[in-house]
Amino acid sequence: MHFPLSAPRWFRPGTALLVALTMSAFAGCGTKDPKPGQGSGGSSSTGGRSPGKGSGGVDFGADGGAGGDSGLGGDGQVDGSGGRKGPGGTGGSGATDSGRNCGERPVSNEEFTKKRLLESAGACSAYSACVFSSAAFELGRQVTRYADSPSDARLEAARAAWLDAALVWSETAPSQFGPIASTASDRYHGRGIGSFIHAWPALNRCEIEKQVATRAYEEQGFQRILPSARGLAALEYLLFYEGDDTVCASNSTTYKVWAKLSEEEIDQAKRDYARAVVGDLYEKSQELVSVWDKDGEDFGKKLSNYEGYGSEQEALNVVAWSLLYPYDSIRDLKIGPLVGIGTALKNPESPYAEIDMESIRANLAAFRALFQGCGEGGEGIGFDDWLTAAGADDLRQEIQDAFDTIDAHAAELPPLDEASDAELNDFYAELKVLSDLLKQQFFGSGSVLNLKLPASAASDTD
Amino acid sequence: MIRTETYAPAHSLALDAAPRSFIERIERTLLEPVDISFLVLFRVALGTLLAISMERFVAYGWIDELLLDPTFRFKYLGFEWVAPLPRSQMFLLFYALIGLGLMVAAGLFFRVSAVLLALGISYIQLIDVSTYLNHYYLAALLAWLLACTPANRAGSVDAWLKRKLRQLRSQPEPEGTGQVARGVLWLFRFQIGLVYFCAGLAKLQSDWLLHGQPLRIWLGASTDLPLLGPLFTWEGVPLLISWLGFLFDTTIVAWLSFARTRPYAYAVVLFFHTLTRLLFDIGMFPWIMSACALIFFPPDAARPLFARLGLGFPGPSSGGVPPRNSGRSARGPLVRVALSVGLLYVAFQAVMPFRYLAYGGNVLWHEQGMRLSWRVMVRAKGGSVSFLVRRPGEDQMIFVDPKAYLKPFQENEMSGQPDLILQMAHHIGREYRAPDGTLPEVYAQANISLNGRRAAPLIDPDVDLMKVQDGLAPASWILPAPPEAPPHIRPVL
Repeated sequence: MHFPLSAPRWFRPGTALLVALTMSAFAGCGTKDPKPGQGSGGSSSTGGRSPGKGSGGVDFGADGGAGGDSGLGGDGQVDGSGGRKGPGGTGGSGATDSGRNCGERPVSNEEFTKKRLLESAGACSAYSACVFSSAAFELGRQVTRYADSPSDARLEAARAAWLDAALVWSETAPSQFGPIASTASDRYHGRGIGSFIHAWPALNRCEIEKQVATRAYEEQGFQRILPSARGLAALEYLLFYEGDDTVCASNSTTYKVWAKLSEEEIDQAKRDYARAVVGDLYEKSQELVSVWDKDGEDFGKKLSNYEGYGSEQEALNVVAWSLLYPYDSIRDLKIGPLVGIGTALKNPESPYAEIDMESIRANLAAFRALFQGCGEGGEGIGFDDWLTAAGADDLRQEIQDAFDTIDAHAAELPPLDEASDAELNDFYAELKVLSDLLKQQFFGSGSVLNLKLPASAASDTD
Repeated sequence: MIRTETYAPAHSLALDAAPRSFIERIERTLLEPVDISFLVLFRVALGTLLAISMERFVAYGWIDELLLDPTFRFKYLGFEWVAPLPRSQMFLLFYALIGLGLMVAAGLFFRVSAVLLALGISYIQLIDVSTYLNHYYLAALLAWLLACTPANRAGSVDAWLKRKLRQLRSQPEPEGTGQVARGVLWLFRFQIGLVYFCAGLAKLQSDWLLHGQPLRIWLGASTDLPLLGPLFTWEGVPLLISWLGFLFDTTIVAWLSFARTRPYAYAVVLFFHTLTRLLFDIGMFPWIMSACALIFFPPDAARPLFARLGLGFPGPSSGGVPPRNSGRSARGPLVRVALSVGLLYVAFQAVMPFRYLAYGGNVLWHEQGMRLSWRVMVRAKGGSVSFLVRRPGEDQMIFVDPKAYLKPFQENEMSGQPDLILQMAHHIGREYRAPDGTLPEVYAQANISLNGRRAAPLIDPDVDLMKVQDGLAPASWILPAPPEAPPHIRPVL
């Protein structure tokens, strides 16, 4: 006898929206505000490239020649060492990048209300999505140039663009609500777009090598490719890993095909796949932008009106869960395995580019933006304002102090593989102080704001 | 039409001789027949609501989430042997319980279906303490009580089938099919009244009545409610609602017991439970209590309703042949046993909610005597718990996060309940047992917040919990509650 895994969910507004959105993304959506820097080489599904060999149908305005770039400037924007020049900033964590045509970081100086908190969180996520899409476009341009006409300088430029995009993503990804989130994080509006952009912690090198070796993506497109073979993780492997081996099992088809390829053919296959992956990545970033777009779906408005969440408090629950990222991801997945605490295995977020510590700093910037406010240094409306308004200023100060300690320590820590056990243990302990505070009085049954913990929101009480 | 609760049936459970003792007088009163309509209505309502409750488990995925997915389960003292069924059988059980609930409502094979329903609901609750809810416990008690009554005697498929059978056999309608002993009515009234009254007494403490906590915290989550929501942000309103809640719980049974105030009181009941349904995630509890409160109406109050629905059945004075258990035979040994069991049940239920007095201190903090005592929605309590393990012969402590063993909802429940923390510690101790079987030392770091207070240690961090056994004695390893008053948390728009 067969029994259903769970109850049928008859009402899934997100599904219809996702279909509509995906269609609009492939049709070339016209985003206005916020809008990533598309320049003259903006997104287009009619870019002249075949979906299989082109950049996923996206024209990044980067022809195979040595110049003639359109879009976000030419070669002059990226120097040989990969450093980003001009108003685009240095590409470090923080992504305070007004040069990306996303405008200034949204900051509200109005008096606190919960509606304004939702608006502020939404505006910040929309801004982050815009900045990331801009970085993804630049990444697409550089990867395409490298794939079209490989050279060491172009590889370095592509790597620099990847580093930039990856760190912007590290500041974007912790905001696990709305379109970026999985349905596990936001069961009301989660669309899982984030996992297609960066699959960590579900990395799988063999899945990437399977596409490289078999070129299945050319026939099937990206719809049937697992997230672990797409996005930033795939590009990191394709751009940074210099070996020609495969980790796929020796009895697998991938291994057998791989073994027949020459070194040059493997390199070419990697470049071809990189070009396709970056096109898909950019489309996903555009999908993200268009969901937040005020002239499009305007998810920010839905969020502030808690449409689909059932209540304002439930929308706030879902948004607030992003504050657990330092606990769930940084403490337990990134640092815990290094100090032998917990059950998670070592699973570096960037195994080839090795920017795990920079990524953590960017993750912490995301925490600050949500807890304190989206502006520089935490200016604007955040959850700390709610604590103050509710009369829990002591708790606000405790959380703030715990976070500042972590942030200051993170700024000084060397790359994780170079940090000593003592440094990592101290860092873990500091993260535990913050996560304990969050679990004691910010979330859960003891929450002074009545914020629930994830996965405890659905069941009855008392 | 004026209704009374006392009947003078033509063939009552008449006791010809005058009662000789106090006990006999009580017995006589308890066995006095009353209209069975109230029991029929109760059967239909409870069966239906329990079927819906079981359906919610299926629909919301709680069978997996709450019962099957956890790899570690907290056990009730004495029921450690209860384990979940395999997945397919668990789903089968829930589908069966939905069916049984509907069968009870319809009065179909009631004797069997009611007992199986009560058994099934009890089993589900005994699987994991962290899923304990007062209203699940109440549902189980009511299901057992119902199973012990002749609620299928009228207005049921069973009664219809019997009537058809009698017609086929040309047998007369027996007397008593429209009546039931008054003791049954009182038993249900006692149970429902106890829930309200104890829920009220649980609010008789300073957090609730002086500081408006935890309502201040909880109301802050409902400021978006149309019309009412903004009122919650007004200073004084949460405290006022706290007082109204206290007065409602402690006095509603009295208002429902007087004929003149009953209709208004029931309107208040409906308003109260509608409001709690809007404000809190308390599932079927408002529905169950709204239905149960009907028990305070006269036992024949629902008779016109059944008649209008074409489900009429003989009344208590409709004549007929005396039933087998009427008259003096009603005082046979079986009835005596039933009365004794009923009185024992009442005594047990009356004592259980007050056992916390034996422990002293703040029951909301130490939780000894908390469960099974109808302390509904009186605490916002939670925090962080982690364990430190020291293996024999080793100096270094190993940090163990319970997250490795528990689902988030279990961790959340455990954090405020010392006996669950103790169970977790013992489990971790067994996990870290040395190869030669020697158990390690296990210490708990439990910092818990109660009603918005700054988190404080709940468990003595210097006590090796492996040396502590759970039991009913006062627990010295639980630290005293923080003495300070809860903070003045304000609901915010």
